[in-house]
Amino acid sequence: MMSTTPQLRRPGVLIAAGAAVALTLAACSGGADPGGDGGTTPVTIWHGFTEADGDVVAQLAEDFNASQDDYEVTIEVNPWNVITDKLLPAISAGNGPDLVVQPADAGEGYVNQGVFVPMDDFYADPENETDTYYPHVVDYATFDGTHYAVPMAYGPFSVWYNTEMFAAAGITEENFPTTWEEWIAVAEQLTVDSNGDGTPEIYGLALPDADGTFLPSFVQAGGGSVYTDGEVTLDTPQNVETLQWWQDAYEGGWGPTNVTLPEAVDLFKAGKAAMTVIGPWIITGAESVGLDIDVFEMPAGPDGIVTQAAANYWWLTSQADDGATAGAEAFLRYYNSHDAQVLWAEQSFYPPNRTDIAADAIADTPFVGTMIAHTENAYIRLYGIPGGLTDVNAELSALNTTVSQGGDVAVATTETAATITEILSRFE
Amino acid sequence: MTSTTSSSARVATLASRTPRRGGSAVRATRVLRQFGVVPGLLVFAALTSLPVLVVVLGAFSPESEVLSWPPNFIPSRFTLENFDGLTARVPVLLQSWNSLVFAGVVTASALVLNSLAAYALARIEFRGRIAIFTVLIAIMMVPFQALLVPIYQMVSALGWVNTLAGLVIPRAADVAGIFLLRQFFITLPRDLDSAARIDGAGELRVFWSIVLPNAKPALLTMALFHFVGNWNDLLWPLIMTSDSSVRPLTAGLALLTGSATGVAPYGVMMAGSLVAIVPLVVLYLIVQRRFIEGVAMTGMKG
Amino acid sequence: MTSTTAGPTYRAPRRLGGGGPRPDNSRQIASRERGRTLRATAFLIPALAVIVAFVLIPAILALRLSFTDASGFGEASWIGLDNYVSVFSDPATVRAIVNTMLYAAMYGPLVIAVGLGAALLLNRKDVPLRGFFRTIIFLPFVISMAVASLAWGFLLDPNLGLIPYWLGGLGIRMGDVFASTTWALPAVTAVAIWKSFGYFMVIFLAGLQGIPRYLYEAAILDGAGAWRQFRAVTLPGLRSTMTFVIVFAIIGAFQAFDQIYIMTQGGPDRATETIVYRIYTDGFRDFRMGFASALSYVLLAITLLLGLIQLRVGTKREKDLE
Repeated sequence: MMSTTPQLRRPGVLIAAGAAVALTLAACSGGADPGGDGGTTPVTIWHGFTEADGDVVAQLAEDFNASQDDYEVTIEVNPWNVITDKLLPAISAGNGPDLVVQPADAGEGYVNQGVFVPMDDFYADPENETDTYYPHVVDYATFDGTHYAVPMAYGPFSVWYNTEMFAAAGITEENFPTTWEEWIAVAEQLTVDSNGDGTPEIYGLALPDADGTFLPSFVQAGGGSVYTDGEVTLDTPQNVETLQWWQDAYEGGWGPTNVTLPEAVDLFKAGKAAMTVIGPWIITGAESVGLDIDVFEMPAGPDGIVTQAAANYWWLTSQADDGATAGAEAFLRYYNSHDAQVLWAEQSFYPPNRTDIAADAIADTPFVGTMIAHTENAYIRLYGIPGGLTDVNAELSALNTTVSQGGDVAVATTETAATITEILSRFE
Repeated sequence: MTSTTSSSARVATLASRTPRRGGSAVRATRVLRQFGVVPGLLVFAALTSLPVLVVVLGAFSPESEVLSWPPNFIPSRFTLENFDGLTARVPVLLQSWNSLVFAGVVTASALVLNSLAAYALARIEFRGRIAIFTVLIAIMMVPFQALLVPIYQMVSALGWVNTLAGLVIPRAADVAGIFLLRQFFITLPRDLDSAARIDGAGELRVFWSIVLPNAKPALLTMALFHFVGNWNDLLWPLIMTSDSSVRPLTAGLALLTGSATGVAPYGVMMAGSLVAIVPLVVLYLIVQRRFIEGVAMTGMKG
Repeated sequence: MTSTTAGPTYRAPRRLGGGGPRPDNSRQIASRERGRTLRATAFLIPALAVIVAFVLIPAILALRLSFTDASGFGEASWIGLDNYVSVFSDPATVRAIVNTMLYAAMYGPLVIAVGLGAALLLNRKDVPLRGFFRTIIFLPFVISMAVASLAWGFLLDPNLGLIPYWLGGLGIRMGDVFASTTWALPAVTAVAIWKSFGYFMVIFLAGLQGIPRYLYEAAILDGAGAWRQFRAVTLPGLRSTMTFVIVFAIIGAFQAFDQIYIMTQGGPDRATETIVYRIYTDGFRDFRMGFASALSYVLLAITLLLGLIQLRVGTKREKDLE
């Protein structure tokens, strides 16, 4: 290619041009200007709620901002995993939130690192009406006697069922299963395998096993636990008995194996399973596919009703100075106030955080009233684990698949307990 | 391989002596290959694009049919409701524009900076070029996850968090692009520029009017990869920005997955994915055509 | 001038005049070299400024972190080589290293072979609808990993997916391949190959088009068949492209993360945990930022060793070509 006639340009021009571009870009700062109109203290909040839940939080924040002149709440929504990625560096650099939503199990790790700070003052002030909170929900956010977080969303996992299939099988409220035995019996009854090939077309109950989601609650309902008071308590004869019960139950063929929680729920939504266990957020999901569902409480194991809760809390970060802290507390008082909580329950389908809201106050919203009762027996999964949650979950998943697919339960339990102990020893 | 002059001489002797395989045998194998190639390619293309088809068809399926039982590829009815759902949840136009700006600016600046650096490393024989090159390659081997926090700290120290500068400038040049272009610049024949140098052209002139025009395939390739890579990048923009009005489309789509299990609106997610893919496909098609032109050019080269 | 391998042999004419005793031009040579260095610097500075500021310095900061017990927040104290020792004594980390090597051994050769094959095929004149096929084959690269894994998840879902359904119709029972400790890693590798071979195909296409046509014509005149042409013209002509491709395949293989993060989260039972996945979970989930940095540098050492070997071989051959 022969040379055309370009203008001769010195390299300096290019570099200068580049610098000019860089400066222009720097000038066009795209960030939100913090600290709004004269005198309002900004309060930055991070959370990961989207769809209906996220909308309500945004609504409540807006209402709070409109209701007073001292503080202005700004919300940044990120996917949950991005919040985890971003939180520490951002707070270290001063760009983080004053208030952040996190589940209880993640929270403890942050407390130990000094990222989250005590909130005893909030609980001490009667104006905040913290006595209306559920005691066990508050306990989860209490470490060494100090309060570190405020309840934000506590969603119990209940059993959701396909109303059509239940009606066809003649199961009504009177004969909802209330124990594990009854539950599995119903599941077997609803399982459909018309071509007899061993793989049901319709499963009676879709429970996850590949991610070990419910293993801790099953163990607890059997009278034992995975981790209590700093000890790994998994390897006991009682727990082995509980898990053995489930292994025997799985032979009924009522449930899919090798499924994670999202996959189990997808089966349910696709009409391939009559029941599943999940939190209240299934309501919007079912609606979107036109599925008619209803709910009843998790059946009791040998030692009572134990189910899991998706528990999210508001945590105060070390970045928040006095002004931001005061603003955060004001917002939290507003968020957990009676009327705000009614709005929250109505639109997010989570039971309200207050015990003084009667079911008929939210009667118009389906199911929420029923689920309020379920909150009592809903516990936080693997509460108190000091760290290494990913690795611990990997171990529990392996144990769960042994339970659902076969293998020596006693041996697997011992091995899992040993590995978990070793993982957690890193965090002593 | 000897030079062309002696090659033609050898041709003369060869042609007269060696019986060439020709005629019907050659034609038969050619036809056979033809029959094998196209169906093979079709199968291969089908397998490769199956997931993309899932996305395309899913975008136009009603929510209840995206993941249903029994599974069906083609929905019972085509609908645009997912796109309505998409625009209701995600500021598609705004965030697409942000994606365009982000990916576009990064690509443009990387083209300039990377080609300059690659040229130096490939065409200027200066001491230390191999050393610098090796250090650059080594840098490429530190995984991004290890660098994320330190880079964030640097950007934050500069006060560039949540600004376009902070988003773009750390990406204004990168080793991968330099590497790619350098490898290509090296293949360009030296005597291309010797004529211009004899005429007294400076380094920059040689770079601009000789080397760059001949490197179109490589430049286009680099531009394509950069644009696609940055258009699809999720973590970096999310970490560097807080304001949803400056965030790219990937961020909006990531939030579509919903905050909890069972809520994910699959159909809407498919629609969003489709919207995100289309500009990239268009870009690829454009670059593709330039490739064909590139073939024509290099064919006449030398 | 000839060389032992086929390929363009170009050398700029050194002297235009004839022979005769050379005048002493060592000073001229020195100043010419200074001039070259100066020019090279000018060309390199913009890119290097960015890379030094935003890659090299952070890399050094990360290196410093690797010698501390940094958690990602708050104070960190110096602990010397403890993290590096832990890397090799921690069974989960060692497992991840092994997994990564297995992954790389599968991914590297395959992705290059498939990419090259596709490029060769789609560079030929006699293939119809080349543009169409090239676009289709490039599509996997263009969709994000999140979307790709969602789509593959739909296709392969053992209970609701199309592929098991179709296979079931043929009588083939297909389990959940991502839940099998034997097959999860190959499955994840396959997805990675599927997603990235288009990238390598495009690079090879660009490289192929850098090979002058007349070389092929000369080869054909010499009586070379397709295979001979490939060996004598194509492969040598792709040498510098191949260097890039191999280094990149190595880096891509050893830094495998996205598909594992999205599809298997390292499971089942750690079967798909790779080094970078451990770096991520240790650094961002388990408050072990110092350890994660150390692991990153171990990864760097492994990758660098392999990459340098390849580069040495590659640049030596390039020198032969010049």
